[in-house]
Amino acid sequence: VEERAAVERLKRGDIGGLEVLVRKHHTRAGRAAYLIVRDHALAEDVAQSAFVRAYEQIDQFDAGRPFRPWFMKIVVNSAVEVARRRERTTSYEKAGVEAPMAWLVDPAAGPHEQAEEAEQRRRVWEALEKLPPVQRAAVVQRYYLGMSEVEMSEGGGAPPGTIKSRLYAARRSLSKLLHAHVRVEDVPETRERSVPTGVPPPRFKEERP
Amino acid sequence: VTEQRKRLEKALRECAERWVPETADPWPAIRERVTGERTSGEQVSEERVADRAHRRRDWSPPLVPNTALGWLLAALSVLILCAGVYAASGPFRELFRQGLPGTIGAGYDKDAGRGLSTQPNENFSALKTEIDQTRTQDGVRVTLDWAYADERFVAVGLHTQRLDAPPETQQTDPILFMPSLWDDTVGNEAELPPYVKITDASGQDFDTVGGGTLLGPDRTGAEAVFDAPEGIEPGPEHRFRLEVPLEEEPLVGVKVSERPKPGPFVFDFEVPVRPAPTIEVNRTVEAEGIEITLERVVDSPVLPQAVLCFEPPDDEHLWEPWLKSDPEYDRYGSTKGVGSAPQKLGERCWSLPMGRAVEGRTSVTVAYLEGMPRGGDMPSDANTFRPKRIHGPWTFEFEAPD
Repeated sequence: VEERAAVERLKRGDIGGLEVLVRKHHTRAGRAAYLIVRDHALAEDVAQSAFVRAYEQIDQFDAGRPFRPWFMKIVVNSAVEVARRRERTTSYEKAGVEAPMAWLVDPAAGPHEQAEEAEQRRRVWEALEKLPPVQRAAVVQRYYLGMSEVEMSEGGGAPPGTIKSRLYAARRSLSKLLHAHVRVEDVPETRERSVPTGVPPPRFKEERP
Repeated sequence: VTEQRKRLEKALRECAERWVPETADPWPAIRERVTGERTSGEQVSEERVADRAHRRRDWSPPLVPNTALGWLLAALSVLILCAGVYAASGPFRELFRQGLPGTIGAGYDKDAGRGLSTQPNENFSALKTEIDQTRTQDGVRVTLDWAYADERFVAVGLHTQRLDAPPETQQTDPILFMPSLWDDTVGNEAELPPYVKITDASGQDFDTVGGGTLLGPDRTGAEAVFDAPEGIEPGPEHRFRLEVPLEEEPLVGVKVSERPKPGPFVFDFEVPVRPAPTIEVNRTVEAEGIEITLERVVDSPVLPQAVLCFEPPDDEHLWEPWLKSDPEYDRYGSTKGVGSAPQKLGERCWSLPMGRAVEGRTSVTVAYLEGMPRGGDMPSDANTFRPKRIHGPWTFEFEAPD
């Protein structure tokens, strides 16, 4: 109710409505952006810019629908643009990407479980880096933000087929990169080709039926 | 599967929680960005101002100036570049013809800038055929600069320019149009947005296996490599059709308009199809009790391939060979010291991109064999599961004919 009222206020030009939305969604927006752009300061900027865009585009938002999926799509799209540009022009090594060194672990877990969880986080973090930004964004939307494929597609998002294609490619790559430490879902083996990184090798004549 | 998905979600959540807001209250900063007014009583420290400036620099790709002087210098550079490019001859034109630094060759995915590779063969530029065809529509010019074809691959280089002077280009968020390059080797390609495609009279379905873009102040260079799955007959002339849809790319900021993009731009051109000679090596090396044979090398200047065969150490695993990467040539972003993914050829053989030119005395090293359980049956304790690895190395040396 509070969120809907805030949106209505914003639609009327009352910037106080935006303050409510900022306080409610800022942290999650920053974290989703961080998974994609992989830099604390850039994630902060993406989150803040997303609120500015939401303010500018609030007239296009259907107040009868939930605000969060619509807003998170702005966050994710912005983060993808930033990540694309950043990765096209520089390497993470040069940019000083933040390595996940000191992570909090569950104090209730034993040392063995803690070590395994830390290793798992490290692998997921590194695997995410190797995905193209659009696939990384699809993983973040689906598995971090918990958005359905329909939600990912709605409101100016990519067509459902494209969403499925990105998720499919991301799951394949993740499964391969994680070497089954985290197998996301059973992915049908429709093609031999499986490319975690680098150039997909070409197929040769003799393997074709 | 549910358990595995939960583990991924948990790991993502924990990764994300490493991010904490810069300040306990982000509202004043956002309000300032929305209204341009500083909230009453807010003190902006020098550190924050400096940090914000730093972040602005981070946002901008290196090609985008951050200051008025920078833009002035950039404008001068563009004038010089354009003058050179459009001159009938000259060093700039020649430089551009020979390729865009950092984008030549066969990267994996335009979204992953790290996928852009160096060209494996230094002589590749000499093998390109100059095309220089131009198409113009709705204020955007697309030029097909060059093309190359051999029995296995087709490669093209093109660039786009905006001819109009929309307000955007005079503001801080200029918009470029770039060729839409998509990896169509994974998933359902019919569901992808319009992307750069090549066809010929054979009707075969070419795969986009590499490419990349390089953004400049007012032009975008792009290269793409296509795999011809059924091969192409070598000959002096082969006709291709290239379709180039565009996508919008803002140089600064994150705004993307929903306006229609011009195109697709269609180019019909002919180039010779060069042979991609096969070097029969047939050399066997044994290590760790396992014999691996380098049967042959396919010497395509775009993507040289090594074809390796071996008897699997056991039947319970699917064993893949991984080549040791060559740091001099490896630009695929691999930090593991191994090259690109192997491609299965039948039951015993694999094809692997070499990532380097085949010339003179050339060596290929298999770093290790990796075995994954067959049939997709993962161990119940997936957390501690490790694929089996048998480390070599198996090193093959051979002489490439001139």
